[in-house]
Amino acid sequence: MLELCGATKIYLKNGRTIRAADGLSCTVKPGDFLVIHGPSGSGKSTLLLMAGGMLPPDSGDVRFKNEDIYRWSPSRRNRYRRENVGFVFQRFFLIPHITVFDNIRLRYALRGNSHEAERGIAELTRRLGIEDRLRHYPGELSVGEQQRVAVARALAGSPEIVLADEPTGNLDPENARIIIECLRDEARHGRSVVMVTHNHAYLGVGTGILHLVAGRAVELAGAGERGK
Amino acid sequence: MRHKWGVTLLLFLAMTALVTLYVYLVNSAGFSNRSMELIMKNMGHNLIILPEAADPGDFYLCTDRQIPFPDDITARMAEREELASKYYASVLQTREKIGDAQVVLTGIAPVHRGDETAEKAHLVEDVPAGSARLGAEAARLLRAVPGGEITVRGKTFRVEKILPVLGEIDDCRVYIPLNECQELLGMPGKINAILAFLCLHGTTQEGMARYQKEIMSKQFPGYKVISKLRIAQGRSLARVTTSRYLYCLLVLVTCITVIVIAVTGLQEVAERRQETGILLAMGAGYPYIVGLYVFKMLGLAAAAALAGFLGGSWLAKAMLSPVLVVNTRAMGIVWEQFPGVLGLTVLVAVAATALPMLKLVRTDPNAVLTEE
Repeated sequence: MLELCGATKIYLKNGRTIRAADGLSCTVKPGDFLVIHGPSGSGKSTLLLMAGGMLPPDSGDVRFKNEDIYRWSPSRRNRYRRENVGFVFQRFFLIPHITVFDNIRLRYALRGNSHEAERGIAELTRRLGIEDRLRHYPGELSVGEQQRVAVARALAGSPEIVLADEPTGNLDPENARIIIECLRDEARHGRSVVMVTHNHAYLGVGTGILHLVAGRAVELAGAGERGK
Repeated sequence: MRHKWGVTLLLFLAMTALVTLYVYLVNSAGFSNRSMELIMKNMGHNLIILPEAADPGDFYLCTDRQIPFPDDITARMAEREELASKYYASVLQTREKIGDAQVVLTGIAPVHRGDETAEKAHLVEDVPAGSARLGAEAARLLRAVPGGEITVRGKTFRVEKILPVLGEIDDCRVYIPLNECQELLGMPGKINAILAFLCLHGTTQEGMARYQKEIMSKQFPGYKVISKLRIAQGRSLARVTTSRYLYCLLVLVTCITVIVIAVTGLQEVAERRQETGILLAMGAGYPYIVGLYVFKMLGLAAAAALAGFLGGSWLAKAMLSPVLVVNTRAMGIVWEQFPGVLGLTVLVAVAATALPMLKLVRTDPNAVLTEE
């Protein structure tokens, strides 16, 4: 279970104070699919980075299984990212000079279970419809295919938490549908999925919604009391 | 992490070129040094070993006050590998009147030590039985010619060779085999000096002379060592000059290698900044990422060490062998150098990657992944 408890993050930019996250609290349980929605600069990505163990909040906690992940050592937090979190980046961040197969396999390698890679990659890429692209380099793929590879990489090794930052941004409806379906599948299989989007069309795909405006949660709708 | 082959190739070529230069310098300096050593060795023995009680002047002037001592001492010294001296020769000398000519009759016999190299050869060649080798002045006084005969104390010797003019007392010597000289002088088993050659092994002449004296005093009490300083110094200075020249060049080469690797490494770290950020975001720790760079560098260093070693050895052979005035051993690949070259290359590569790695571990994944 992942929890944010009053997480606040303040940036100083050109002498201005920007409250990217202002006392954010939310809980994501296994099987939840939380959709975070808000305009640009509302703090959506900041929330994901804090939840992913890459950006410590200035105040408040980020808890995983009741432990504050920012009280852990950096190496323990690395392990958390490696073993418990799958991150889908808005800009894909695929490594350009290795093949699709190697990009996905990298995650298995980091987790130390390369022996599962062949089978796992075959299944993931089949689900995402990119099984015939394994020997290609990212630059040889369409934008939609690259995002599907990024999703496959995030889901490799079945992490408990999937954090997806605008995974459908810039995608055509068909590619977006494939990715949303895949994330919903993950939630159905007991993973905690958090997806950031600015697209109203996807507000209803999850089990909960967190609306952010200027770093604050302004409204929560969805399954139960999962965020405040 | 897969390599960017262009950068990898550039790095490999740079390291190979520098290792090649290093091996070339070490080899050419090594072989030049050996060549110089041989030249210096041809100047003759640089040590005289005499009984403690002997007056060196009596030996220099070849008086009848020289103190004879057993000739087996030379063989015993040759067995002691801890002594720094080699190329021993037992000498029994006396002033001798042959007809109207005054010469120095010298019985001489080389005594070999086990670790003397065949390539350099002993300073003294055996005088064949029944033969005499004459200094230039002695030959002139005796009117001797090669292949002719001379008679000493009633015994006839065939003139084997006449030596070139040296401008020393050796010009007046008549060399005959030691055992025949002992027999002629009625001094069986006796000599009155040992000539030897002090070898320097990476230390100063003074240090080595001190060491030699110390070992001699422990193992051969009652004998003293006199250094023929000019010959010893010449050899020592030749070696020091070569070493210092080489040292300066190697420092320069090492600095260039470090700079090339560090700059290339920094460039690569900068180029792979996003990749590093991705790996960190995926939970790879800094040791893992640093390991990728360092292992790659180690692999490259090992490959460059081998290629550079072969290239440098070939270059030294091709460029130096024809110009050496005095050749010693045949130049070629000295495989004994390879572990040292490999170790040094790896060490330099690891040291040079320190700066890029420092930059690498300062990479903030959050900053990388959120920058435009």
